[in-house]
Amino acid sequence: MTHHPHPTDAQPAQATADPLVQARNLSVHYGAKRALDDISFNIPKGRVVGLLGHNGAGKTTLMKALVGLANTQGNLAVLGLNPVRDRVALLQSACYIPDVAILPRWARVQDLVQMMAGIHPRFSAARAQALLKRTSVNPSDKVKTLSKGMVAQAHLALIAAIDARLMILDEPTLGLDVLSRKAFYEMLIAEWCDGERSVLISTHQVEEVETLLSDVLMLNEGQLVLDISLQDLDRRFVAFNHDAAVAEQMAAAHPLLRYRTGAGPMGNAALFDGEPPAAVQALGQRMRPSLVDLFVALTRKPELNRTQF
Amino acid sequence: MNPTLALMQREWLQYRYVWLLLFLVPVALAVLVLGVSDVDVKTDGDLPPPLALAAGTLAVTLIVMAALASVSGLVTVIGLARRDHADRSVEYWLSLPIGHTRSLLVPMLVHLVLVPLAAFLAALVVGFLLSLLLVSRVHGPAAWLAAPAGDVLASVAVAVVRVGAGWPMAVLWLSPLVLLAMLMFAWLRRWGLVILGLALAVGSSGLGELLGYRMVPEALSAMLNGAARSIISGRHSSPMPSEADEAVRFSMQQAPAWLFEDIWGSVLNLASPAFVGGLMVSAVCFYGLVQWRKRGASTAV
Repeated sequence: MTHHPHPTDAQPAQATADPLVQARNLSVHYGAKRALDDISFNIPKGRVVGLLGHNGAGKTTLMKALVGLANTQGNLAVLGLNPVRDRVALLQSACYIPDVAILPRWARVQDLVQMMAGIHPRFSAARAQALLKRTSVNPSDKVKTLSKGMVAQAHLALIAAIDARLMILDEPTLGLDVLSRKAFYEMLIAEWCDGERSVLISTHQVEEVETLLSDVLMLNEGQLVLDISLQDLDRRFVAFNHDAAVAEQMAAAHPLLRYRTGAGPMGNAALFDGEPPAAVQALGQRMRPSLVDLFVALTRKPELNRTQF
Repeated sequence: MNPTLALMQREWLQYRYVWLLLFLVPVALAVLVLGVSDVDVKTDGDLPPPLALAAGTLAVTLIVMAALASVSGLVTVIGLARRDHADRSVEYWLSLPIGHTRSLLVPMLVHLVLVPLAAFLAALVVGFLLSLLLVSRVHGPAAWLAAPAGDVLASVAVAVVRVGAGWPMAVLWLSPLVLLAMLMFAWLRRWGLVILGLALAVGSSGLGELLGYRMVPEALSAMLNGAARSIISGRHSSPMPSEADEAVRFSMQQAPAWLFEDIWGSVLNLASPAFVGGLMVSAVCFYGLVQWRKRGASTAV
């Protein structure tokens, strides 16, 4: 991932050696609506990238564009291929879970394994069976008899049995309970990520995936407002817990966001892009900003309720 | 790995019970009526000879089974573009490395060609059993054993080869109408079929003629005629006798020449402006379906 000098002024990313995804001035229109607006970024190999954004920010559109299911303007290369023109070839090396619980309800899980073996050149039925054994899903189960969490597990077992280089997950755990979400991400990290493959995950459960991520892309109204690795993020953004008594002095330093972290006297916080002056730093206690707070800071609008997130 | 076979397998897995029910229910009813019930099948009038009775039973079985399979296939195919939207699995299918064209063509091939032909073959077997049952009941088991088995088998072979060769041509003749219905259903759901039905009805009625739309009844007539002549072209010098006994004997003697002549006649029928025009309409409709599928993929499903 590439580091941009300012979150609201995303610049084209510098080319990295053999990036799996390379987007330059990428735009997608639905009629008059601009779903993606001139965004540029790279995804190198071996990364776990979180794609964050409000509802309607353009996350799903971006993912569809990456797998050739949306027409784009600008330049987009995924695994060196044009996604729309080479969609079939691309999907042989990039796997995609577009939503949760979308497996055909009439099928048995073993039917899906059989069909995937016939359709996908890089799919291993033996591996899928082995992965299914680690879940509570029985191959003879009909999809319609499974819970939403079990369907998500079965889908991941099928997709993780593909020897692909890139996995794209669009809200793969939406609506699942916490145990199912945990099981899903554990399987993803343990069974698929190997340091060479990359994953792009869009999710609203930012806190749960934060520890898995190596990079973050943030979209706001179709624009890329942040493209950064978590290491760079820690260096670039700083937050300070501070007492309510110094709130005005903190505000005067123009933080990106001021928010509450707790009920105590030090329950106030300010988030800065870059190091604030030493005098301001001395007013509070330095802490690591969470992705949620950063997301709110970079995409907030008065009319948006933070609970949407 | 063979994606086409995998897509065919998908149709089998999804529809096998529907197909089995469509096949078994009429067979079970026929067996119940002929074999178990107390219905008196004998009449006071002249009884048809055993061979004619067997041929008639076989023909009725074939027609019923092929019709059921065709209607079921037609209903499935017309709803093809939207069938995976109800359980949202269209997203899953679109995430797999299969082209839009193949995703549409393979199910059409299965439901419009392969399943009706398979039903035809299965109906042959069942028709034999039913004819055995009926002939035994009317004339006694000895009458069945006395039937000229070689002649019967020859006529069956003629029918299998003729229908096998003619059915795909018949489907091609009817493809403009089928694909138009598919496209209208994809865009407008049931309203699309209502509009299409109304347009065809108006176009074919006196009102259409009054307004100068003679093209619709002519096109429909050409399609139906072409489809019928794909099964029996009528372009042979020695017409098939209408009496069953004679037809069977005729089949035995003339089968190879008749088959070649009749199939060739159907092939020659394809070289007509109506067929070529129909294929062009089909191609446009199919392109529309592919575009609709792509558009469906790029917008929320």
